[in-house]
Amino acid sequence: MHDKQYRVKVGLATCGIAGGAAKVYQILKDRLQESGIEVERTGCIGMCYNEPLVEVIEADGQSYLYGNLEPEDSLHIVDEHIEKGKPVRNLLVLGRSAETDDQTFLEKQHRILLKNCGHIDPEEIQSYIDADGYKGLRRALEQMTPESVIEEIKQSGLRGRGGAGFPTHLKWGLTRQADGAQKYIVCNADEGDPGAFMDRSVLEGDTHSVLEGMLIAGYAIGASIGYVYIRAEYPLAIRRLKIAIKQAEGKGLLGKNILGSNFSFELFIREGAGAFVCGEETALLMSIEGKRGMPRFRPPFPAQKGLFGCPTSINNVETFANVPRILHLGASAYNQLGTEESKGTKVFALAGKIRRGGLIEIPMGTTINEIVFDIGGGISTGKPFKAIQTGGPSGGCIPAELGDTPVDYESLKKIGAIMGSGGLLVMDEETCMVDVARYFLSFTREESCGKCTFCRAGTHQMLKILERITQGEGREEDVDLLIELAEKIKAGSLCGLGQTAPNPVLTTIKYFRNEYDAHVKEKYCPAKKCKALITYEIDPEACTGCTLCARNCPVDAISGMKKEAHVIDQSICISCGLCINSCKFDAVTVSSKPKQLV
Amino acid sequence: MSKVEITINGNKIMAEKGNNLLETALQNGIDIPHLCYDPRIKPFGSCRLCFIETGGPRGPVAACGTVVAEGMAVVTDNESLYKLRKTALELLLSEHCGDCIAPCQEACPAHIDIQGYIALLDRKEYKKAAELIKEKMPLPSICGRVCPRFCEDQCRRNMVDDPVNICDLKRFAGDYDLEMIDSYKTKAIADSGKTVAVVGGGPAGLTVAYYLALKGHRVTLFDRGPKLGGMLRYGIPEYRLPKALLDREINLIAGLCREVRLGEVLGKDFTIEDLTDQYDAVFLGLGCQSAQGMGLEGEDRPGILKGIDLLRSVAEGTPPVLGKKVAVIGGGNTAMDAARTALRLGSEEVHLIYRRSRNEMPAALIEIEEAEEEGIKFDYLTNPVSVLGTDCVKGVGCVQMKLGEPDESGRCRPLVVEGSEFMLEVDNVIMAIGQTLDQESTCACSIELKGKTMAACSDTGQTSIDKVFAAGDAVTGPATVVEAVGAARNVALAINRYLQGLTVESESESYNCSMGRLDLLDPEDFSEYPKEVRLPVHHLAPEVRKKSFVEYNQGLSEEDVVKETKRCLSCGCQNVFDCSLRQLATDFKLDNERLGTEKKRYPIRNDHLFIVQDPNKCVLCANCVRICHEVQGANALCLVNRGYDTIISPTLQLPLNETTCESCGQCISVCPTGALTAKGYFFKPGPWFPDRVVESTCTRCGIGCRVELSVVANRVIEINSPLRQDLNDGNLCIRGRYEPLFAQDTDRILKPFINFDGQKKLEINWPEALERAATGLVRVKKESGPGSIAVIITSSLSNEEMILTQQLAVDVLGSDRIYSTGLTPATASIIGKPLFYKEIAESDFILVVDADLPEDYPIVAQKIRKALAQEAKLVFIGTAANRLVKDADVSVLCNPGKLKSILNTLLYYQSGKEKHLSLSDSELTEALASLPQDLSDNPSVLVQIAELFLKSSKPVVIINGDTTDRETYDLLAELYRQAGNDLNPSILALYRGGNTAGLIEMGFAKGLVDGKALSLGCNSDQVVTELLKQMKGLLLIGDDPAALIDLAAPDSFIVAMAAYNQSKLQKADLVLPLAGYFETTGTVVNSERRLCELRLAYAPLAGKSNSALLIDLAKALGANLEPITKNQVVERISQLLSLED
Repeated sequence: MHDKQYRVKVGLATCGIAGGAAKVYQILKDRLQESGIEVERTGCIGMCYNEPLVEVIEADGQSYLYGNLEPEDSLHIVDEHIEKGKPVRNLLVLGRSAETDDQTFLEKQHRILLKNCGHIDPEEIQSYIDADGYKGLRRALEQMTPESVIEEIKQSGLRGRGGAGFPTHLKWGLTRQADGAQKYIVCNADEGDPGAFMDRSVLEGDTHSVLEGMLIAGYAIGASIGYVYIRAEYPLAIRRLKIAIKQAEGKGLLGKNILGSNFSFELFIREGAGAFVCGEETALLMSIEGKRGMPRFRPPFPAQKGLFGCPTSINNVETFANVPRILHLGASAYNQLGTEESKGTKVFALAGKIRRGGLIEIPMGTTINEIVFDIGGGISTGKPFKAIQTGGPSGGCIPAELGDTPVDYESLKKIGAIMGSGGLLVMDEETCMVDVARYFLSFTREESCGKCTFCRAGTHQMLKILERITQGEGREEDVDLLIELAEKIKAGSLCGLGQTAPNPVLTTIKYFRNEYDAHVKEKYCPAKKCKALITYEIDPEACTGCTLCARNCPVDAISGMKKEAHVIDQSICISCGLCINSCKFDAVTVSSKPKQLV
Repeated sequence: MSKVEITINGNKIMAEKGNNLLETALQNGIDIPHLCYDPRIKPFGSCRLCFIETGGPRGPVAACGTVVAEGMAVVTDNESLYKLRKTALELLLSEHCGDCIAPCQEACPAHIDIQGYIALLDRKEYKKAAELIKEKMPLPSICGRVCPRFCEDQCRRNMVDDPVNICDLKRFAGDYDLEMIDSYKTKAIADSGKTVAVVGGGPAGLTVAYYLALKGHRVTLFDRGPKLGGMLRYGIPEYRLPKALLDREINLIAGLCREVRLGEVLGKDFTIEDLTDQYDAVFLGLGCQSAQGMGLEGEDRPGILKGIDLLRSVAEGTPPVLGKKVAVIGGGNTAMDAARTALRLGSEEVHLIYRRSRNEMPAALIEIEEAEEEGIKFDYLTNPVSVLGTDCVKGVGCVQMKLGEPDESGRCRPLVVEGSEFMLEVDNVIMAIGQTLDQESTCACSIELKGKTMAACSDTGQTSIDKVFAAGDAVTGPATVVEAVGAARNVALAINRYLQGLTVESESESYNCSMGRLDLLDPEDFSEYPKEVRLPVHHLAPEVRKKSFVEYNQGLSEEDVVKETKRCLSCGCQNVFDCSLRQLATDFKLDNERLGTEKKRYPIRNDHLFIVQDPNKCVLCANCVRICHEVQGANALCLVNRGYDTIISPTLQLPLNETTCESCGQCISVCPTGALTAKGYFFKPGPWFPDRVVESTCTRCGIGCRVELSVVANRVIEINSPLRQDLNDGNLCIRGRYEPLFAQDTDRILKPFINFDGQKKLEINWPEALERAATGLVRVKKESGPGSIAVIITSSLSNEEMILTQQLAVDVLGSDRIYSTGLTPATASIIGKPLFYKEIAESDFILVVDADLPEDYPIVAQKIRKALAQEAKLVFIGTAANRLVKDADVSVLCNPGKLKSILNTLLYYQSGKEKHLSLSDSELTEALASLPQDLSDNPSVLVQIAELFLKSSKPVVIINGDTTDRETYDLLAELYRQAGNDLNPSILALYRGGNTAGLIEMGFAKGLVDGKALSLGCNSDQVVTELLKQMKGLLLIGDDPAALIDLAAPDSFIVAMAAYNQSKLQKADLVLPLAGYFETTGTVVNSERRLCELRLAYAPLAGKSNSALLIDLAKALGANLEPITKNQVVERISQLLSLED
């Protein structure tokens, strides 16, 4: 039926499945069963905004990536492309004769870490091995001493990708030097920042790279047991981890005398119940030990006394995933990338009001503007770019004016933000910065472990103040009080959660003080987002009386005869905004004046 | 322990290595604020208060989480640390929800501890109640009659039914104090030499005089009148406040003054300069005794009186003659008094004219109601405009009024109704519309005025003239007695500071948080309280009382007082006196304004027998969770939820009773706030401020824990243990902390009694009782010989009591038959090396043989947990499992009969190993054959134990001293020696009896005391049964020996000495009351074989200490015994030790 041999891959990471890829996969599988073409699974290629994605690779290696597919589209692709050899141009995202600018999404990226994601089959160890998998481990075990592995990591300049950027070789070195017959390696896969999904994607798309990284770390520090602490909300990643462990054991890559060396290593999975604070290393260890996840004093650091009181090195998923690449390519190849202080690449989850949201990998030092405009394709709403939040609830809001800031540990710190684990949330002009701060504070208030005064009661107080500001009940002294509390909470909290929780508030006050003042002094929300401060009205001139808004109103606040102008009863209206979304004639307007003043 | 040198705030300090900085600072007397640290548990770091600076890059760090290091330089206090701590405290208080003090106390202008005195009244501690009231209010009887009861307005009982009758309860306490011979008398401290002139003998002057006199100052009290009392005497009618009572209460205060000068008027008889020249300080309490006029035409003609003048003339015994119809103008309390006085002077129709309505009337509601009852006619919304009549009064011209919009005072403004003029025919008009300062006196003292009153600082009373202070009505305008007293007391304290040369400032007030005023509360929170109607006060009937000046309010009867106290909801926090949070909030002068407070409403868990848990007051330090887990090993508490909603709850959110809670109260002892409190041991919860705290020793078992007894009157209200001592480290168990408290109130024997017919009980006095005992014992001795008398004592007697008992038995009665209930043959044969419990915590191997430590000796189990945390090895061999087994590295359970076989096998293995011999097959077979099946199948368990023992360098063996026999003991001793350790093995024998070790040390167990032979007793022994049957006379000392009465021969003569009633005592011929644990001084020997002291918490309730009882009994028998001193005890012990050698 066709003279060419095709390969067909379906992106089956969580993002793909959420976009409907499972159905597409099934349809393709059924359809191609007879033809002898096996439909391959792969992870997230990064273009989450285009899911579901199907890649068709022709015999000459030419790849065609189809995106935004409806189930029936996949049959169309088989009929046209595979049967007749004619690529379906209107469904193409990438590939020869594609008419999209999606190419630019990849152009500015530098995919070392993600090179396998979206390409190999994460559930097949051979697929990983074929892509140079376990070469790093082999090199370490066969050619290097543990000390020289640590030295190699040092040369690479690798820093912890969990957010704080602590040099990885130092952590490994300290753990290696610590006294203790038993040592542990722990992989922190408790990715908890709202909007962040880098670790999940790596675990789902390139599971073995994390395993290999942990094995190399285990060899380097002298640990024989490793734990992957992963949130239970990542069932697919957990399933793939289990498969990977089993397959690695089968290949002699895990267990006793790995690759014929003296090095033995066991790996266990611990599922966390989804507490944000368990991303903090001491709380994470408590959780693995079966205790309530609460941070404790450091020192002693986990490298001295960690899991079950033994020296423990805890690294993030992405850090581990970098290790095999470094060992395979060599530190000098790795440290070519990035800036003076921040080497290599960093994976980000680009989200928010961005045209091309997804998983990206960039060399350290890429600027915010490059990320937003070149990779992300600009603001999805077409409105001006206002700010970007890095580091989730621990990070800061960077205003558009600072768009030339290079993304590396030092530069971000300088402007009050942090790298964090890699969440990037893009905001446009319609975002109320006070409301953003309130949102993040409501998150940290809920996710504080409740142990220490500043974090528990302090975030609650800050939230209370932010809530009253967004409700138009802010007091003259509130912004100063917020700053004072924020500084005390940063100085006085026990762990990183509390120490960074005020960052979104501090940076929004620093860069958007005028918005706070407008809320407090004029009871005015410039972005027209704070419900207590806005009023929806219907322009009788523009209203056609289509009744759509009235039918959509959840509280029956809108009345009016058919084909006559409608009216909103302000005493009933809850400012949910459904009317403005449903109106096809732009007749609903929103103005920022407090309700009670209407 | 090695030391490191650090500097704290510039001072060099040698700190114990490994200690944290907070502990180091505290041990060196440097206080760093903290809430979540206790030396018994590991540092946690949640409260965020103990910040210090060590110069590190991270800025302030928690002292509790910082380990000392050589050369460390620490700053514990500076501006930024202070601010950080202050914010932390503010945050903690923003989520702390409860009442520190009860709202009644908060509302009372004098801040009397109402909840406290009500609780004391409930305990019938009337004298102490009066004492407590007088800390704030020197005139309880007076105030108890005339107070408008600000307290009752805020009483939370209003949310249930009616407020507690607080005022009449105060009156009861005051009256009791006045009437009882043994009443509370204040004791002034030593003479300060400073002199104070107090001008004005009204409530303010009396209060200042009282409190300054108590401080030792020489007070001269001036009053213009012939008698003291001011408005109390001249402004309040006899029927409300009898003069006789007034005199008595005032005389108590006058008696404290150096001099009382009556009939001397400021400005006439002396000047303010005279006073400032002659005295070190001057107080002016001039009052507001001049009646205001209304400015009506013809106001000064005959027949028109001023209310206050009317009352004064009646008080002076020169009442005016009034006509049949009288109009009183005004709506305050004076108007009520004037109207009701007019009625009592014979007027038949008394009108009260008031321009607003009843709701706006300023008089107390109770006064209005009583006036209504007596038939006063209230003309509301009526305003007088003129007085009619020329020579005499004919009537009052009035207009009708209506209420308009509220004015600044919040009351509705009265408006004239046009054309509503009318006339009220009356014979007299009494104007009672307010009083002002006496202009004459005011001018005479040339104090600056502020409007119509004297200008004085509201906190300190300082006036414009140096050394002159003022308070009371003259400063505030006409007010109430309680307001004058409250203000005057503050001024007295300020004058005291002035006299001491300190800066004059008000006494710093303690921080108080509150759940809010009554109108802000949710009635739902009170729905569970059963309704309990307020008891009616006995009043004379209106028709009777209106004809006489006799006091019509009869107050509450004693019976009613007790009932009324039960209605009090005890709103104030039980922990108010030692709440660390409140103390810190006070120190940091915090207010809640900035952050506000959340109204958390978690249910208060009240379902446990001893423990009340109020999560609303919790600061989440988790001290309770941690001590329960780390120290007690019980895990009954846990943290639940996350973030702001985190709370501490019983494990699995069960009722605490249903968890593994051991009721040890350790959680309460570490709680820094009132989140965990003990259920009131008294029927009614306190809070109680102890009269004294007595250090003593617990005798509930042989551990001998150090305790601190908090005593209020004749009661121990709380038992704690001192921290930082090596015996029990501040820990206690249920038996030590609670049982003695409850024992206090269980059926005590307080008088000697005899039984006849085996049924009836007759109380007799001490001399008769001792005489009867002596006669009976002499008779038995004479008839059957001294050998037929046995003396049986309890094992918790003190050493001193034991020696006296021996002397009584051997020297006086001539009997060597002394037995003890707590001593078994097994116990008596064990003499180990003294071993301190702390050595357990420091050991590296612990072998526990057949003892249930968590259950019977929790303190020892705690030491083991400490050792385990340091990676010591634990081995348990025993006949029954217990909670320690799960912590053991190896445990072996066996039948009682197999215990020795196991030890033998261990010994066999060890000796072979030590001698580098290996067991031959046959030897092994032989050894294993004697073992329980599971062990012989798996002998590696024993090898493991033996190896651990051999490897150890500091092993400890712990046995049950009451049950382990000599042979087992010797086996263990041999094992110990075999393991290559000390020749003198460290074997700790634990005893249930409070002084079993003392019995052994005193020689009871050794067969010889002073060269005379003694027998041993054991209450379950057949031999004992036989023996008791042969006895003709029994002297039983203690409550457990009394339980043996059943075994006695029917015709024997039995004298039982016991502290508690029990039915078996009916069979004793004579019962003599023993003193209880709290009533005993002396020494005991604990299981460590340390001599521990018992101290008196309060005097023996039955009037005699046990030693005195024994001496008196000897005396009745014709012998002279002397009290035993501690030295004699020490001598006895060393004497017996040398005998042993």
